[in-house]
Order: sequence, then C-alpha cells, then structure tokens
Amino acid sequence: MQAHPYLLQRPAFSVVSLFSFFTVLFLLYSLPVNAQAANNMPQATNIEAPELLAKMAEATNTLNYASTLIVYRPGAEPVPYLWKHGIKDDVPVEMLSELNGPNAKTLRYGNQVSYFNPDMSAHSLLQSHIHGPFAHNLIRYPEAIATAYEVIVVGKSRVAGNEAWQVRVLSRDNSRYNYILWVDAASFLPLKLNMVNAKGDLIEQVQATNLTITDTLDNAFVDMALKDLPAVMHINPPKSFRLNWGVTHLPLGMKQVKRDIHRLSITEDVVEYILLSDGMVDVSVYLQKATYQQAEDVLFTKDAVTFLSRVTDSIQVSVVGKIPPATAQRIMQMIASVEANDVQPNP
Amino acid sequence: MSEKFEQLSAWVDGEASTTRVDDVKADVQLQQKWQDYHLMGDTLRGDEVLLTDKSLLESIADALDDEPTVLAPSTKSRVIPIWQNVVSLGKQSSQFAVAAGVAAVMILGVQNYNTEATQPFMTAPTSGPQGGLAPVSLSQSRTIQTPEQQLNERQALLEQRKRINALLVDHQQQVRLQAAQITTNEQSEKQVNPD
Repeated sequence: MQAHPYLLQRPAFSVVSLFSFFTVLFLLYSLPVNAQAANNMPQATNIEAPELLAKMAEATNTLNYASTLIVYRPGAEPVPYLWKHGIKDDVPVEMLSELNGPNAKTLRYGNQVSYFNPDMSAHSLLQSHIHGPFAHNLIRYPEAIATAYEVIVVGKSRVAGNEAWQVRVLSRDNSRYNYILWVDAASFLPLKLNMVNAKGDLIEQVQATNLTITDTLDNAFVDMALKDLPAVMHINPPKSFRLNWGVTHLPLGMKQVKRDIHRLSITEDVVEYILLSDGMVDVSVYLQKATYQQAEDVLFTKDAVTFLSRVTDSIQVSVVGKIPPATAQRIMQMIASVEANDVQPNP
Repeated sequence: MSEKFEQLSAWVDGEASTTRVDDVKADVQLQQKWQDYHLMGDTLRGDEVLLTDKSLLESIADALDDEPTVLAPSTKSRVIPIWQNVVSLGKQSSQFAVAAGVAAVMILGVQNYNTEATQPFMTAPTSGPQGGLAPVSLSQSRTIQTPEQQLNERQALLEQRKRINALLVDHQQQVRLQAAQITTNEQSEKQVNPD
C-alpha cells in the first residue's frame, strides 16, 4: 500500500506547518502592536485639527512676532524673507521684506497695505493682510480651505529649534498638491510648510529659521504712521463686459472668484480673464486673440507655477497656477462657450 | 515596569515626565526603549530613519532564514520517498527530459527577448535628445535655413517667451490683488451675518 506511509506522515507535516504558520502570525502581529502603542502615547495630549487651525489663526492675527522665512523651490535659489507682525494701538501692523537683492518691502497698517518695490512707484492698496510666503487662508482663515482640503494632525516633531505639531493638508479629490504644515506647539505660529505632489516630491518649501515672540511692539513699527504711507490707490471696477465662455466643471472646492477683461501690463494685450481659487491656490485662465501659430501645447513648471497654453482657431487659451499639470489640462478641457445669460460679473 | 516606560515615552514626546537623563543613563533597558521610541516616532512621522543598530534588521533576517529551513526538510524527507514509490524510474527520466526541454526553450526565449529589447536602445539616442530638450520651442525641424529664416524663428521664440512672461507676471499680480480681496469680502460677510 503506497497511501499508507503517506497518511502516517501527513499529521507530522501539518504540525510543523501549523507551527511555522503561527510563528509568521506572531511576527506579523508583533510589529503593528508596537506601532499602536507608540501611536497612543502622543494621543494623550493630542489636539484636533480644527482646534489647532483656530489657535493658529488667532496667534497669527494677534501676537507680536518676528520670523525669518526661507522659500525654497527645487532647482531655484532659496529666497529669504523677514516677516514681522504686531498690534499697534489695537491696530494690526505687518511687514514683509526680502532679505536678498533689492530691498522690496511691504508694510501693512490695519487694512492698508503699502508696496515699496524697486520696479514700480510706491503705492498702497486696501487689503486685509500682506500676501506672504505662507498660504494666507491656511494660517488666517482656515474655514476657507475646508471644502477642498482635509486637515489631519499627524504628531509632533522639532522644527526651527522648537517643538511643533505636524499637520497634513490633503487635497480631497487628489487634483491639487498636498501640504505638510508644522505649527509651533507653544505659540501656534506656523514654522514650516511643504507643498508636495502626489508622489511626495517637494514642489515648494517655506521654512522659518527663527521665530521671536515679544510682549511689546517691534521697534520697526513704533514710528510707523498712516500719514507717512503712500496714498491708497483705488482700482476702478471694470466697465461692463460680456464673457461668453466659462469653465464648466471645476475641481472639488474650487470656485470662480473673478472674471473680467483687462490688459496685460507687459505686452498690453487685451485678455479675457477668469480667476479660480480653492482657498489655498489661485488659478488664472486667460483667453486672448492669437495672431501667431503655435503647433504644440506649451506646458512647463517654473517656481512651482504650472503654465499651460494652447492655440486653437487663432485663440490662445492659458491656464496658470500652482496646480499639478494634469489638473491644468483638465481645467483647459472644461473651458467651453456658455450662454451670455449665465455670465455674471464679479460675484 | 510599564509605568517606567510610559514616563519615558512621555519624555520622548516632550511631555512633562518624572524621567530624568540620569535615570536613562543608569538603566540599559530604558536606553533600549529610548532608542525604540524615537525610531517608531520617526517612522510614523515619515522622517528619514537611520538604523545605526542593526539588531532589529538582523533579527528579522534571522527569522526569515529560519522559516524555510523548518519547511524544507519536512517536504523533502517525506515527499521524495513516496514519489519514488509511485513513479517508475523510466517515467522519472522522461520527466527530466521534459524539464530539460522547458529549460532550453526558456533560455532561447530569454535570449530572444533580450536582443529585441536592446535594439531600440541602440538606435534611440540618434533621434532622442531633439524632442526631449526643448518643450517650449516653436519648431524642432533641423532643416538648413537661410539667415533670414533663422532670425525670424528666433524672433518668434522671443515673442513667445515675452507673451508667456506677460501672463506669468499678470497671474502673480492678480493673485496678489485677489488674495486680499477675497478675505476682505469674507470678513465683511462675517460681520453681516455672524453665525
């Protein structure tokens, strides 16, 4: 009988295999259990994302602080900035200056922002804050990004010599870049912001190298007076116009925030224009007459900004913004002519 | 014991803790845990992890080494005798022949595949760089041109650069203008309906 010895040996074999099976199981399970234990520890003093964002917004808008920021984009020179904020007689004051090259400086006194740039005459605009390296809605009005992005507190780490909360800001439909934000655990001021693509490659980084929080107002603001700042320039609302095109389908959380017809400052070409925004990034869509031929699409990324343009039927369509090239393509595909009735001037 | 580790973990996370440097210096077990907690923390945060201590990797490697040696002898020692009982010698040798045939075909196939795969690589570089280098350029043709044509082409390229630059600068201006306007709108909305 040939089956007989086989049957006899069969149980011994399965005992060995069972044993090894459990060894493997044990090995597999021992790892996640350790990880879980470690995960539970910081949770004892964890913070929920909405609370963290609210505290950051309050700190950014109310504290007296000075911070040196470095903006780095792979393939380009890092750009250093000095960013100061304070409260002067109950009025928020803010300053942003570039530390390298010509001394470009922006000052804010309440709702008046004054620009001192070497390439244009000094002027002021009515604005609520200075448009600095940190995404402004994220650090000031986090509710503005809630529809497009999910915010998750990951844990703690050390940034710029300080203990910091690490936060992930993820595009809900994966059509935009993701962000990793580090917030000072003591003061709740932002310390670092990485913009990464879906693969996790760095697109842009803002890193504080120094953060000082003071009880009193910074010296730079002490002598600051509204009367010394350049006069406010009022931008005339565009005259009546009609755009018979639009972007029919927008990525999740993206809204049309502006549409007009204006001239480009450099070439003086007239463009029909729509500005889209999801709170974190702004995307410009241009339509202009093309008197030239362009056989292929132009697509490139410079300083984290994606530029895509296409010429069809002697009309050039361009999409510009800090979005992945695939999303720029999709927005361009969604441009279509619409009934003039549907068009509303600036909402 | 677990209380001791909990305190250490709190200390590693930067929380208030009764653990002091001297405690860790005096306790080898705590030193080991100190390293483990930092390693786990770094891994969870996605920081770059540098394994200076190879004992973890070695223990995993050892565990993997042990696995097949438990299984392999058991299958060999039990299956082969039965196999020899069941299958005659002649049949066995014919199977070897089949196996050898399969191996020969495989080697041929692999060789074939390899030569096919390398050929495009040899020819590719002659036409490759042209397309890859200049995504912004107007024309990629390398026909002989008159100086006038060359000048025109260069002019067109410059014009295109200027147009692209104008759009990039305008985008920057629009973002700067709009970014602040949005928030002033939101603020005024908030003031109107405070809910």
